Amino acid sequence: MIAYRELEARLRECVDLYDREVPPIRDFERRIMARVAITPREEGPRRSLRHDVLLSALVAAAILGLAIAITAGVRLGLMRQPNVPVKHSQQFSAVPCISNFTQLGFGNGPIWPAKMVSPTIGWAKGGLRTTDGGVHWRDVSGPALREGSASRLYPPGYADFYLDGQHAWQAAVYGSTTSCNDHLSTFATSDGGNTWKQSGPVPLNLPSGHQTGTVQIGFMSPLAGWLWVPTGSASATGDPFFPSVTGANLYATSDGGMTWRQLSSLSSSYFKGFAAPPGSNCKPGPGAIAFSSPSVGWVSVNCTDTILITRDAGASWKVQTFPTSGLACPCHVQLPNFLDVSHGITVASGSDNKATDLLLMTTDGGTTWRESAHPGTGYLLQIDAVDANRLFALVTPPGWTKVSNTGFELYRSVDGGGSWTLVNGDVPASWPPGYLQFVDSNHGFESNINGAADLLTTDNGGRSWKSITPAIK
Amino acid sequence: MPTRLPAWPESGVWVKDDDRAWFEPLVRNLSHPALKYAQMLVLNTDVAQEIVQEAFARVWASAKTPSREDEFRRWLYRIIANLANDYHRRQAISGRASLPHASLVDPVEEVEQRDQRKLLLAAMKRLTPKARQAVYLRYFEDRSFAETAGVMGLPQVTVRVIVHRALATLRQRLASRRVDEVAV
Repeated sequence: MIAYRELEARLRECVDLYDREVPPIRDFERRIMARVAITPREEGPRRSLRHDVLLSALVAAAILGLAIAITAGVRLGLMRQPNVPVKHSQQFSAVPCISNFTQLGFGNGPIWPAKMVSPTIGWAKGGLRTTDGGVHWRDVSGPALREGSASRLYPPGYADFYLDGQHAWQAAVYGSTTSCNDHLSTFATSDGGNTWKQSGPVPLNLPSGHQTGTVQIGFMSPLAGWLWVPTGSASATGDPFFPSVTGANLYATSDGGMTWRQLSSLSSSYFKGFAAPPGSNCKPGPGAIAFSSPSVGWVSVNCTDTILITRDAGASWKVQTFPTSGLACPCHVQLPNFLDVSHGITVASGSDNKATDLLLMTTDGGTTWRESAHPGTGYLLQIDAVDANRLFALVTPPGWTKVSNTGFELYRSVDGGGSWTLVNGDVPASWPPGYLQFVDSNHGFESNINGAADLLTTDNGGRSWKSITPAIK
Repeated sequence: MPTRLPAWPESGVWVKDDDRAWFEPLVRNLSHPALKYAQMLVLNTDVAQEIVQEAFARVWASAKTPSREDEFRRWLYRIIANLANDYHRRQAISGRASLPHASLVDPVEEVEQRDQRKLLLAAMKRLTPKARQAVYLRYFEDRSFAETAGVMGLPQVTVRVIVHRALATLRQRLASRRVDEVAV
């Protein structure tokens, strides 16, 4: 076996090789500066010694002035005026907020398909809607979401959900004159984005230094939905945009998202019993959430392979177990996806990097899970269900590698995953596939995980695919 | 004509204004190292480019961003690492059955890479993202353990453990490869 010192020397010798693998990219600096040019900066002077002194003097003067004003106010009876409501604004001038409006997603594709509801109508992340099968997309977001801005930059904490062709919701976190993460607002449309209604503000009441993590919103019907708001401190990660999530609040609505009530809260103390892998300073906390009904849901625990389940709308949680025999555990189980309150799918994979993942299904709302037949022999890349019986799966073909430049296998099941039939052995999807959806037995859509520079469509159940280039109108 | 950096103040921190002149030299000096770093974390060229662009935009946006190049670089690298983590999380959330890139065994690629350095680089790419990050900083950027720990935001002793375990994994993988080759 190679000696440590020799291995270290060889690693250092790999630098040249790696440099050739990742050469400088033409125009990359220009592209970075172009991105910088459209990025707003925090207001206020940069820090320096002189500024610190000036700032201290200004703060002292402000405190003195405030004290005088309060004293005078009390004497003049001004304090008896009714409370002035907090003005909610996205202008962060009053406090040094670190959040900014951002673009959505990664990669160079302009469209991240979210839900196609028919062969022609569908939604993509960011309030984009198509009525011609994905060729053209229009941003139908409400003007209040970005306060009328035409820019495709979205507020902090942005999340969206698309139930059908008409009903969609968007959520975002807004600051106020007193806090950067003051409240959350949701926006709902029931006419395909022609009109939007804004919810009342959902106060976040975050401690100082805390902010929201990845917000999620979802609906089981046009009226019943949930809102998941993880929170934490950014100081722990050293990155103002990525807080170390330590807790989360769960909200519910029964009026289509106009009003929200808090159902439960998972605090940091709840996660003290979970352990991150040895050597990691990752702190276990609430991750993503999924619901099968208004009361039954699952939450992943960050930094661990644990999934929690609630059957009482978040009032109590317990660890969900899955059948993972045959896998080299510790095993990773993805959050389940539910087609209805009973039928759900998830995938479990071992830690040995082998294509031996298990397809797990439930028909009783997640009480019991059973291993389903595996489509093909390769890595299971994407799975989609038209209904409880009709499923499609995209799988790597035998001998496939990332450099083999071949297509993927598409399998179909008509018996709820009991058996699979190869439909197409060479689906021309680009690596890595990120989205597969069939709206019926014939019409399907596929795109890359980095966004759809090219969207693949089929109208014959996946036997042949056509590539279209989506454009935002 | 090269852009001159602003004069170094006694406080060791530049007073940045909204002029992008202070930022451009940092982009020029660090865009390619940052890209290589991001590529090592996500093993995807398009995503790495996007992450680096986003990271520069974020350091530009934040008033707390240090201007001194070494501190700026550490800040930038932390954001890149966080964006890479977020990218992997998004895959887990958005993908119905997504697959982490790093977990893929790539037999054909491995067979083609008989060169020892290529073999080693391929083995390194199969390490966990955290181990790749530590090994990259330690050996590809030739940073001390203290500097690596600073960039990763971890205690030095933890970084030493991560690197040691990564080296042990690499030794095992290289050894098993040799056994395979002898057997063939």
